[in-house]
Amino acid sequence: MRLRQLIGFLIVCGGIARAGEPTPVDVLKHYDDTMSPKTFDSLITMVAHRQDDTTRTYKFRALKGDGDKIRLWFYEPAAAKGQEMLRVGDNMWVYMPNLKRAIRLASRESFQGGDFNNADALRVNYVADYTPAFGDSGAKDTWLLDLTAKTKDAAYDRIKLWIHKADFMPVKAEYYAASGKMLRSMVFADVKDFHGLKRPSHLVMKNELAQKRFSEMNTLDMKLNIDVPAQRFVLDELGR
Amino acid sequence: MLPLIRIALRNVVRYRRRSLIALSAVFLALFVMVCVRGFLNGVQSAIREGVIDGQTGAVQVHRKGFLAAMQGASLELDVPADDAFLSRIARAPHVTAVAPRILFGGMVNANDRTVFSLMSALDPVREAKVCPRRFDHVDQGALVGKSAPDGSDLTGALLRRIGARIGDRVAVLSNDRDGVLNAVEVGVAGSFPEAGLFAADKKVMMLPLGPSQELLRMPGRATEIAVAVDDLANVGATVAALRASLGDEYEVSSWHDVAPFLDDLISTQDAVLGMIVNTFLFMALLGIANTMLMSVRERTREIGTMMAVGVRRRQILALFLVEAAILGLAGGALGLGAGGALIHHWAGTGLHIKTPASSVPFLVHPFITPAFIARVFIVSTVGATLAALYPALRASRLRPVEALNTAA
Repeated sequence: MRLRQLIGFLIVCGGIARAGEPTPVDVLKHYDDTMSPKTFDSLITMVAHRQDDTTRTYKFRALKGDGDKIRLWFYEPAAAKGQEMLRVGDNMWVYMPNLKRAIRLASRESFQGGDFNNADALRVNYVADYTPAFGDSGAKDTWLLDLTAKTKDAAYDRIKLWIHKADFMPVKAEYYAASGKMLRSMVFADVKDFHGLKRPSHLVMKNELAQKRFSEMNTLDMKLNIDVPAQRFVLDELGR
Repeated sequence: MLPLIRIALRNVVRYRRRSLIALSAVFLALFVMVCVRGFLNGVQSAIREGVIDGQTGAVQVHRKGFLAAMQGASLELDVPADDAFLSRIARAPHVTAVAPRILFGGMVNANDRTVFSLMSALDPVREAKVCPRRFDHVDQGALVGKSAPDGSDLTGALLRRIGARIGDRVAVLSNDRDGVLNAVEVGVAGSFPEAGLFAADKKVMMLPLGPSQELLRMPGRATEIAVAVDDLANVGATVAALRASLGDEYEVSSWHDVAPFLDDLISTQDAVLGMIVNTFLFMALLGIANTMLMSVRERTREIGTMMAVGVRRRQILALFLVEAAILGLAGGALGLGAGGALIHHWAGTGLHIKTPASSVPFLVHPFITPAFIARVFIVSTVGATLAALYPALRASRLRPVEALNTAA
């Protein structure tokens, strides 16, 4: 009888202790809300650092609407001008102005030859794509989220995500292949306030498979809670 | 010496059954050796020619560092593909043709389906001269660039994946030399069966150089210049001459460098074959040793008699060795003759081999080199003589009196 009481007591204590701690899913939801708010209209530059020490700079507008839909317009460089990208759920397309038609893209393909892949750039919803669990972050003030892909269509098979406990700000991430090989690693830097949303504005993605390659993504502006007609996210609308 | 050979010959003929056993052992061993070696020679040269005439060319020229670089960086390491540069390469000794190429990874799209594919951008006219067997497998429709300037050939598997047919137009999507996404439309001119077991072999596309240069935004450039030579034996001289004339900016490689798996494959096959062949030969020689040993036992009285009439021990030893040598020589000659004849016949007709790794049968022309014949012939004759050494020594050490008293 005593033992049962003791066990019951311990369970109750555990429950009380748990109540204050967010679950892995809660933390991941925070991450999604920070990095990819429900709707936004943003201006982004990407600088791809190449193996030969040269760089290529891209500038594009990203518009996100309700229901995991994103559309991109490329402004720079001249060769990419007029290209658009669209993501609806797990489907992605690129609109090629010279062919005047959209071509389906794979989520794991490199985004404009840089070190982000298409799904990184057209990111919508990690909670939908990955199952999170806590791991050992190695620091008391940081969570380590261990994300496992729910489907093969996810951008990576496994992601490790370090998140600051005090403000839920992402610190760094590592991206893995199914084999366990690290493909990319990212540092989240330069937290800025975008119309009331604090989030890292400078992302540095390092290609772990190459010696010198890395890409930087800078958010210049991000407007939130905008009203975007669903019509903007229809395939036939691309190029118009 | 001559009388000795005459007596030995007479003995070989006299003990007919025993000689026949020894003879057939050597015959069989050498027959099998020649057939297997000849067949393997044919297979190896078919594979080598398939790779050199169908894919690599004998020599390749790249920008320095190209072969060591990862696939992703390879477009940056490009070479000129203009007439001036190509004729500079064509002037090297033994060069018969040159062909610029771009090898890249891209996506092919039709019917809202996009599939990753390995792309070979080729100049159809020049390519056919460097790699005459490049287009051998195209079994449906037209060759690259033949029916239309942008006509391309895709594997059947690739066409099925994107739901396209010959005559359709497909989009090819890739990052250009700067990394920027680009796309062009090309026509599906023909198709060829997927070559290998590996998934990578199944999604392959050959497209003309022009549209590819436009797609990759690298007009007048290529990543690889394939070079054909008049005779594969001259590859070394051509490589050396090109290295000297092109300088440090470029790397010149022979097919040994770009297809190292070929040399590995061939040397592994040779090692395995060597083991099998040597086992056969060893067993045949054991057969000779055994029959000679039996022969010594059977002929003890005869040996005693010979010794009694004054034949020297040395001569007895020599007699048995010569008998064995005759058996080795005759069996070897017959085996090599029969095997050689069969290989010669196959060399003329050719053998169609169908491997599980390839849906395309390839024609094998077995052949055998005189050097191999000579080597095997010497080894079998000397081997037979050596195998008889112990029985011959035993015979030469018999005591005449005891030998004469032995019951026959």
